Amino acid sequence: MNSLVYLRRMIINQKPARVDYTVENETKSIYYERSGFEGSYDEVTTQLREIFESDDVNVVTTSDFNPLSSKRIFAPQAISAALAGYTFNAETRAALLSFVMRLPPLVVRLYPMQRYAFQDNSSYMKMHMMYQQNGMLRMQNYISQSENSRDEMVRLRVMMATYILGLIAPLNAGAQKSTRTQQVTPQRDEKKKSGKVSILTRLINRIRGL
Amino acid sequence: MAGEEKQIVKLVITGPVNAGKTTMVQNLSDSQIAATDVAATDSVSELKAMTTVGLDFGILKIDEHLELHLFGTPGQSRFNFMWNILSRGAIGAIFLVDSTSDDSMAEMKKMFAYYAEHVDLPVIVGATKQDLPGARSVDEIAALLELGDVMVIPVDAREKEGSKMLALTLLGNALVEAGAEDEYDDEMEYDDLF
Repeated sequence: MNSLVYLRRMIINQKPARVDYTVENETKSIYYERSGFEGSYDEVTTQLREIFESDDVNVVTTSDFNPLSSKRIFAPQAISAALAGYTFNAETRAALLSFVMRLPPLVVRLYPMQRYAFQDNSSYMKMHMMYQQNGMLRMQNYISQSENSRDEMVRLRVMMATYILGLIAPLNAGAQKSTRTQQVTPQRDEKKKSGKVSILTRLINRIRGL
Repeated sequence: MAGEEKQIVKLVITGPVNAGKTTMVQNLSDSQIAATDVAATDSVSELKAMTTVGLDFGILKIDEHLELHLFGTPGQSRFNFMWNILSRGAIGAIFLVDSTSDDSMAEMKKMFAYYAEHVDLPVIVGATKQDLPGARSVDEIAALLELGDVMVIPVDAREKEGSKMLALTLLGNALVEAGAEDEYDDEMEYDDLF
């Protein structure tokens, strides 16, 4: 499910971009600008679903973006629409479960998804509650505690939405980043970033213990 | 004595009069707080006998090198100018609003409009008194106050658990934002999940 990774990075980056993808040997594109996908509600929904299942996705960050239409669907609304009633076959399910297995312990951000008609909002609330109770979330546990196959599908959709929209992040993001990019990023900036994550983590741990 | 300098971060708890700010500062502090309550004289006296004119202040010691300073700010929009000072070194802001009071909503709307324009900090809104008759729902409050993407959470400010939950939600959101900011890098390979 590399398409999820591409969509997440594009949305977090917040720069104008074009997503190129191939579906049934046909190459298509969708533009992203000002936190929204270009197109009508139905067009964006259809294209996002195609992107979810495409094996060939590429994101091009473009500075000379020429919008074809003035219509924009705000990213949380677009993702909510694309995932509303979204079902998947056994192959996609396996790919999603495999993706879940690779996720590290997470922090979860509470965001008013219900305002964007996110149909699986109650399951998202459950996920946030699990995070609040334990101080971190293991996505594997959240998925494995599904009551039945329908519930599992709901939880996988919640995983997709929260991952793509940047509502989940690794628990130790600062530390990971610090190790990974120490050669290309000035040391002082890194210290500042990981410092903020460290402070927030310590505050959370202390307040949990009150 | 040689040693690491103590770091102080601030958490601001604000909102209209009579929403529970002083109580929340007390709930989250582990030291004696300084409260500057006086007898209310103007229209506030119809709501409660005492009101905060300066700052409520509390300290939560995190560890040997870090302290959280909690500031409860006066609940009137005429004190908005204080944001310039309070937001320096702040980790986030909690707004509390009385769910049953139209006056509280109107005041909150003014306060939040100023905040949205002048302050750039993670923020969350706690809707208090949800158990009382006539309380507006959190969705109604979000729409009425034009809060955009800011989360509104029902909270009983009198309960320590409620105060903790609100603070943890704010800090958790801030942590995800900090993590997400950290993870994006044009040079990174896309085979990494984060």
